[in-house]
Amino acid sequence: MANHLSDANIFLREETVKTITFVFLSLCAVQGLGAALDLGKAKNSIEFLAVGQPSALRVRGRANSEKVSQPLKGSLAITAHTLLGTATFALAALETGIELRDSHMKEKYLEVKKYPDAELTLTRLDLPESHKGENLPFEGTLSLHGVKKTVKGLASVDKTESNLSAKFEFKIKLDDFGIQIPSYMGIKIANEVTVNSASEGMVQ
Amino acid sequence: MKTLFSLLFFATAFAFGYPENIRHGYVNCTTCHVSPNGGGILTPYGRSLSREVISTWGTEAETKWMYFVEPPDWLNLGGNIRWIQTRKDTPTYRQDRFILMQADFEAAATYDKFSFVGTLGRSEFDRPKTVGEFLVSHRHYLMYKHSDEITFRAGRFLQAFGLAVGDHTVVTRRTLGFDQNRETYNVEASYIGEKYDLYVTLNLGRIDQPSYKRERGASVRGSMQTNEKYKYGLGYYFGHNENSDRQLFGPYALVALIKPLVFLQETDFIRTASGSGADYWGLAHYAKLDFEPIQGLHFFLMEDFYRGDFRNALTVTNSFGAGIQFFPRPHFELIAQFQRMKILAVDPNHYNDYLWLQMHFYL
Repeated sequence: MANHLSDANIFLREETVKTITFVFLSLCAVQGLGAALDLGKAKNSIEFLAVGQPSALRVRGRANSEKVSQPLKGSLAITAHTLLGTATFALAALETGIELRDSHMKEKYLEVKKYPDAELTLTRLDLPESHKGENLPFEGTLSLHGVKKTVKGLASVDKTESNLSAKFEFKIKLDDFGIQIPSYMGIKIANEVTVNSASEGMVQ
Repeated sequence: MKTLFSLLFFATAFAFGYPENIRHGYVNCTTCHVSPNGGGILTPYGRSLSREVISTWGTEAETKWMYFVEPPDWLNLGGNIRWIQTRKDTPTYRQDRFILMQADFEAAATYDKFSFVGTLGRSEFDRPKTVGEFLVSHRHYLMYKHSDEITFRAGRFLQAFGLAVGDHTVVTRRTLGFDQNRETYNVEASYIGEKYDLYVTLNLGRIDQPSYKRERGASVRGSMQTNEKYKYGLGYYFGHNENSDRQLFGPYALVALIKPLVFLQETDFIRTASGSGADYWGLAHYAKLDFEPIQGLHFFLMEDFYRGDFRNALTVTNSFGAGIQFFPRPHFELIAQFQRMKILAVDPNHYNDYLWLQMHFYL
């Protein structure tokens, strides 16, 4: 019981922090201190690349908005010299091009019914003064398959007066998130999977 | 117009694979085939794909060997039976034939890092008199898988060069000598990585049949993948027999332009140095555009060109055609193809027309 209360408190604290962050970022944007991109209204692309052995089989998964409308939600905001925000992705939108593989991925490995979303919260992304740069190191917290882990990667950001484009690439290890290594008929997927996301849209 | 359904030009996939599967991101043959260079016996994953990405209809259960046999993990079973309906239609007579063209059984037994792969089937002898003439093993080799990327093998198989396309009658296959029944004894090392692959083959010829005077030599083939939909490669081949030395060199490409549309091409320069002192260059080229509007149903256009000697126009062979390939359910493949072909040495002024229908049942 105590554990449940403790978990609930942590959850409430995190939700409160997120809410405060979002309100702060929105206020910054309103005050002209920065700009926010609503990912739900942006043009997004989410991909992963996994490699299977033997044969170096490359499995590329992509978000299909026909499966889930608005698979990516959340916001990104530029404040002074940082880009922060939270993105929530509906894993049911992922497709790899082969139905059987998709059903194995979602039902057996990602367990999408139990853990429907992946969420990335950016905790550090320092921007140059121009608000434009490539290969910018970032850190974030990824929540996937019921596990939270810090992830590090590289980002490309391009902010104009009315537009924000942000691309992220990072690698995850499946076993870090308690995901069983996918294996089917002698082909085994490597533990490390590369994730790419790109978002572009009008800032508010 | 003279129409021939001719045995001379029956085109089948024999032991070859389906590089068109690059449309599904399958850039390396070994995902589906036991052989590092593709073709022949399928891996369990390849069997599963025969339903998932190859066939229009079907169930997972029917992908098993002979529909119901599930061999132990160390054993893979395969085989092919092909029939062809041919018609030869000339100004003086017409002849229809329904022919069993291939009947092969294939097995691969694996122990630890070693595999032995062998085929046994009906030979091409018209009227075999002995068991040796009736049965033939086109491929038999021992393979050692050093790691996920590196494999060595030795035995009889078709060496890696160019595109191992299904239609083995095109000039880059049959005319250049990479056809069914042209398998030689080889020693091969292959590296298949995430972005690059490399095959180095030492060709010992037909050590079992020296009287065939097959070429001996070596070949190198390498390719790179810019992503899982584009693959580009280069090949070099050297062959020597008592009559001539032959070198082949050229690029090839597999490109999935969009998922339903795949383009394959191979161009090879040929240098021949004959024993009489003649030294000349030639060219072989093949291209195919494959369109799969619904899974399992393919429409394709193809063309090939061969000029054995740039100095001699009569060494030109040129053909182009269109066809339909249909994989209705696992185990079945149907092909109908129309092809126009001109062989200048035979008739420099006219194209001949060929039509053929083929049914393939893979066990």
